[in-house]
Amino acid sequence: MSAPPINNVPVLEVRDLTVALPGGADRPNAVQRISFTVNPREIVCLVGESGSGKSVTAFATMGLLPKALTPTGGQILLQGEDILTASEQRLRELRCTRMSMIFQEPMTALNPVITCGEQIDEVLETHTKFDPAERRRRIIAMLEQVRLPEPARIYDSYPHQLSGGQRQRIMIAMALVLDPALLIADEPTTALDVTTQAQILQLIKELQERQGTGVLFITHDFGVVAEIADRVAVLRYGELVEMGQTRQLLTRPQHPYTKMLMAAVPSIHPRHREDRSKSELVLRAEGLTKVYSGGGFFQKSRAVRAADEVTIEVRRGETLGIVGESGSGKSTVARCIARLIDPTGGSIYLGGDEIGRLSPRRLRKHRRRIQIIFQDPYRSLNPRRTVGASIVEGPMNYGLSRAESLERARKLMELVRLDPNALDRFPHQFSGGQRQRICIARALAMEPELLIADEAVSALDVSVQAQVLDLLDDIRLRLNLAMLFITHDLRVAAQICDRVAVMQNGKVVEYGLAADMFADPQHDYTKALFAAAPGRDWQFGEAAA
Amino acid sequence: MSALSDDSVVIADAAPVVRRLPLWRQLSHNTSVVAGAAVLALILLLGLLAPLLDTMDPSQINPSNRNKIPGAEVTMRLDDGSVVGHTAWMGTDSLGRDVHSRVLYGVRVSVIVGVSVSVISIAIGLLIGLVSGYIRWLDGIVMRVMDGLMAIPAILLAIALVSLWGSGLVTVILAIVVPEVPRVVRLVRALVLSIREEPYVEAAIAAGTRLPRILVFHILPNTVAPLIVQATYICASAILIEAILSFLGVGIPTTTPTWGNIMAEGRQFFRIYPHNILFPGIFLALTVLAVNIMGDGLRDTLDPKMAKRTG
Amino acid sequence: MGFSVPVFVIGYLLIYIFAVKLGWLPVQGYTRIAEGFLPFIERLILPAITLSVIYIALIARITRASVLEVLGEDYIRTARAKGLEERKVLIRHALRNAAVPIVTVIGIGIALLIGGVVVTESVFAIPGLGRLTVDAVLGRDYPTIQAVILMFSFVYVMINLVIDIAYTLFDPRIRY
Repeated sequence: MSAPPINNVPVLEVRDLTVALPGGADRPNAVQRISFTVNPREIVCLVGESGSGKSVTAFATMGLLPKALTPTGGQILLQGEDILTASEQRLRELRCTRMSMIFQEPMTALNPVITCGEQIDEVLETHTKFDPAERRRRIIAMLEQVRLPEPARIYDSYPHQLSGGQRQRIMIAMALVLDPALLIADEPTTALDVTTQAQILQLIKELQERQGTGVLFITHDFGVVAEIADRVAVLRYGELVEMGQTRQLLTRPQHPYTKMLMAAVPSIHPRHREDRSKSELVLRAEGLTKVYSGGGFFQKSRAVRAADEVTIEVRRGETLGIVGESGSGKSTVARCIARLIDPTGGSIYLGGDEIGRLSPRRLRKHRRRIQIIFQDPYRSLNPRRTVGASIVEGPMNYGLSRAESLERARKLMELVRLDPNALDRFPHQFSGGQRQRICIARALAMEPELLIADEAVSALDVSVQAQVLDLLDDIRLRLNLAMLFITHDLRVAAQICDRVAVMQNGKVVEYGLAADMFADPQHDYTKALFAAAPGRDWQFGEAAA
Repeated sequence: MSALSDDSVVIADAAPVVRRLPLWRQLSHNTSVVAGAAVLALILLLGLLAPLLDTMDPSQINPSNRNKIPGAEVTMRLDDGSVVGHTAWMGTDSLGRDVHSRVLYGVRVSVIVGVSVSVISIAIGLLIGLVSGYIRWLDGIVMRVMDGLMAIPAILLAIALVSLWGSGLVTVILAIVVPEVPRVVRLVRALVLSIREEPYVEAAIAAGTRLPRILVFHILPNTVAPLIVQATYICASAILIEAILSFLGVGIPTTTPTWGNIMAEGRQFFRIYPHNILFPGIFLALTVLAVNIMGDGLRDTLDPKMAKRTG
Repeated sequence: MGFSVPVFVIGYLLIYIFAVKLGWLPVQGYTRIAEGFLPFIERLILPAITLSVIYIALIARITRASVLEVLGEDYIRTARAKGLEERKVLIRHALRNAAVPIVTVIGIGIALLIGGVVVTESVFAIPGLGRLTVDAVLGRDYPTIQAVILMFSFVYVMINLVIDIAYTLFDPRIRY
């Protein structure tokens, strides 16, 4: 929380910036008269939900706005020089020398057919007169600075040979190799696992302090803000609603929107839950294993144990959370239990019935009893069918008449707090949160015994996420449902789960009551996960209350 | 979390509802679609109204009218035997037939071939592609057969089939369909393989929906847009191949006026009377171009890749 | 545009202009190279141009489409954010990533050249493989048909193999 240096000129000064949206959009401007500054050695976070205009601001600063968006007013001063009036030629000179940018998706931000070293080399080739040997020396030095192992080997690697975290390090090396005054980071850790995220945040902070760079950091995550920001600006619908020092804003938010956003951040401390350990057992998976055998025609095939001897139980009225990073096998377990993929080994007991090995024909009468909600609300509903048709399909498959099914659908729409008259609309007429509610209604229409939510709130904005989480928990309580909740987010798990199973590399490494585990994690991996959770020392909800 | 009041029946989530223009409005904004469709409509109208557009019997042979240049005045016999004066706008061929009449009546053959080939190949390709994309053990066999068919140049395959079945409108259509089918199968199979991974299909499976219903209600409707685009390209290529077959003398019998036949007939005296090839050539090129341009426009509007989500 | 215009229309147009009207080149026919190099080349110019027009159009079209698609990728944005000139972005970053479909079309084009140029051969009265096949089919000369089909399939498979190997040059992610 260093105070801004008094004698220095700000590296970035945005004054009354307005960027117009194309006609036909839901509002006239993507960004409306926003002003803020970034000083040397300072990290300023722009926080907001999707559509708040935070990325537009970043791209406007780099002079990389898509053609449809035009700045219509204000100034963006980079060390006193106006970006908005600069020529294309001048902008090219400034990029990477005075201002650099790193992006959200390290998987797609690097050219797949050029080696990482060459991609960094392009920066030096374009902007400096160093000879090739000198360029290579500097690149290797920079790769060491971003702490990539074996820089010489990384130099000659192609992006697909590196992990997501390593690629983001390459991006950072590329951005900082010429020591720019300003670094713009557009959600640089959103696509990364939580432990990788912690390392990348640490790295950005370290390099920024060493080089004295001013950083404009864009994020939607208050945890990240708490970890990294000196000052924070909150954006909503393209307007800057509040700006202040991080500690002050996080402890005493002034604007109602900021308060609402912070209240929506799930607390990392589990709520008190009723004891359900005596209630009836709904699901028991025993030694569940899924092996993928891969490998190309000329390559040695290698088997991946996506799920390895997983044993879990879910009781009526209880939520079991499966927590893990990408590739841990948590979704594989969920999909095996829903029998969307066939398990390689082990048993799945639903009530008294073993369903893990049933043939598709015999399985069909049990399908009704397990329903699943998926992550991406934009792909979970058939775009060519009305939401009503999607909801009634299941019950009608099991012999309910159309009229009865529709009646049930109307009741469920009310239960998920949507207008029952909207049943004849198509999915594209709903927002992401509304679609996720429709998916919940579709699952409930089957009157399942077990509801699986596979990252069901991960794609949603934090305020919508809080609403959907509340809805899910409310429904579990009201219908006394057993729920299996897959998530990568510890905060979400803390709020909704009675028990938690932590998965790593296909294995359950820790399994127990949420309250116990969050208070005192036992396994090393669980401890590492908890330590990496951004903003774990902050109680956002309490500050807002 | 309780700070949120969320009791309203219709939710106002933060994200605004995405609005989409109705399809026909989107299409009417696309210059390629409008231009292509306009030219096609004009050509179609010419073919449909051919009898009213100063045409004579297109296959009437008259030795005294041989090889007249465009705009020449000739005399023609009518069905009732009377003789009338007629302006041969596009000249006459080496048998004295009126090229203008033949070109306009030729529209009909081209349109019939184009439309029926695209309809039949899409229908067959769709069926095979759906089955192949969903029944894994059949997939390998079907796709190898399709690969084999694709290894033979389309024109040669069509020629071989026509010579096998005998020439005529129906056999020409079928002979063009056979080489087109593998392309449709490949497209449909690729679509099915990607759509079957969509969560909404998995949700339908979890809801106990049977396979035929999933194919018809969940997968089929989402293949329509790319197939419409593909159909226009097939239509263009079918018109072209029919003309080529007729031109080579293996297509529709020479007595029927088609653009390929007119050009084939004009080959002999091409150096002196180029109009026999020029006029049907212009019509053929214009038609194929219009269909292709319309296809490009349709692809830009309908292709899901282009309509990326903004949310 | 070019690929919509039928080969025979282009062919006859070229003959009409350069052979009939201007008289620069012979109209049709084929001479063996043994009968003189110049007459051999002279008679190949027009058919070569005719076929080229079609292939130029085809390759230009697929290049445009796949480059346009690649230009929407994130790494193009990264390249621009580096301050690269638009020309370099296009050639170094876009074209190489767009190469796979372009190579495919070129390869299949070559495969089709072996037997699929019946029309051009007819227009220019060249006794080529295409013409041979058509005549064999029309004359029900089954041994010739079999031989020709066998050869086409062999060439097609070989060219596909070459295309597949070429992919690995353009895209390091592809391994066999």
